[in-house]
Amino acid sequence: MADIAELFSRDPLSYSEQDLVTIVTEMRKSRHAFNLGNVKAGSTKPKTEKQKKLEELANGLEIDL
Amino acid sequence: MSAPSPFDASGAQFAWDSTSIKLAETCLYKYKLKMLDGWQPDNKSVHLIFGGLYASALENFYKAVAEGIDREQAIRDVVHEALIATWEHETDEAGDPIPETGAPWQSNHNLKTRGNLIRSIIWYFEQFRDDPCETVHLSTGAPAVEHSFKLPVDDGIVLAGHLDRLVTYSGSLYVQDQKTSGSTITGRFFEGFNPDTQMSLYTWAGKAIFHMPVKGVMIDAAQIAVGFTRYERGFTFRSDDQLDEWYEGAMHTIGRARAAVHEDYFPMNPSSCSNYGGCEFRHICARSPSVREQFLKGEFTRGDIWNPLRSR
Repeated sequence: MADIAELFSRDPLSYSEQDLVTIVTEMRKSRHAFNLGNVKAGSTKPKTEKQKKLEELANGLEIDL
Repeated sequence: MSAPSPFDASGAQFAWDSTSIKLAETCLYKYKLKMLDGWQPDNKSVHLIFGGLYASALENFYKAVAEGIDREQAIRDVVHEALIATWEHETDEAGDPIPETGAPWQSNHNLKTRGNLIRSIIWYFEQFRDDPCETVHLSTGAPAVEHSFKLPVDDGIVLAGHLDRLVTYSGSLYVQDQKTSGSTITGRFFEGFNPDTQMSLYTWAGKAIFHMPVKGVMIDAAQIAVGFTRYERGFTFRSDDQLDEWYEGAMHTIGRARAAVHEDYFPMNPSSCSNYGGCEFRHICARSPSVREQFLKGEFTRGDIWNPLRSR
């Protein structure tokens, strides 16, 4: 939820409609991931550098199941 | 426009809501400190802030949807409102927030945080996306949401409060209420609402206002955890006999509190000091009466008196 952390650190009076769409979408994704078994997916704590790096690596993987 | 005073010419309270009845039920000394003297902790309870923002968001969502606003738009609107409400802006002379100032609200609790509030609101709408429960529409066509009530009853007393929403579920009518908890929601959680003055008053008022056979309160409870929010829906039912019994008891409690004002005597109820994690005034009451006020001034401030007649 890197985007959310950035958005949450900004004055919400400056949000665009797209910012709000992003927040809702990311939160829905986190719920979906949580329901699939990623027990940390719903955490709203800002991600550590290590977590961000791992997420980047995971996003770069191309795996067909 | 400011709300009228809930106190009569004798200084005794005539307008009562569940908050003030519960205070009087719990301890007349606590009732005096909070309701009559207006002592409030310097830091408002994070649980009250979080729970209030959460319930407001869901209530505003249901109101918007009932008025025909698109569901997705309504979600974005209430999320935006919650985000603004949890940003501590500097204000101008008129009291309006100054854009690009301030910082996010910093909760002093590890679960009731700003991020978890927004997550809990959005996840709630996912959890209940295909909710079979529906908002009741009154004969006027207006949705039964966000309803503040002030009902005159016996002996010049007014019972007041606020119903979030009246719903139909499986063919029955319920008042809907939202609760948040840091603990796992079990059957015992819902059992805790019977007996309970808030839920009895909601049911009683729902019947009196809408003239419909309201069966009780449908409680949507959210467990707020570090990595998730989990929801459970429970019900608390009230029969007519139970409501009659509750009403008589509530009127007796109100009578006792009014007599306490007239006699200027507010006995403590030491048996309630440890309830719900301990009374906020417990360490004050543990002091000698002669020094109690000094300690109160050190940790509490005298703020606005709670007013059951103030509409939301």
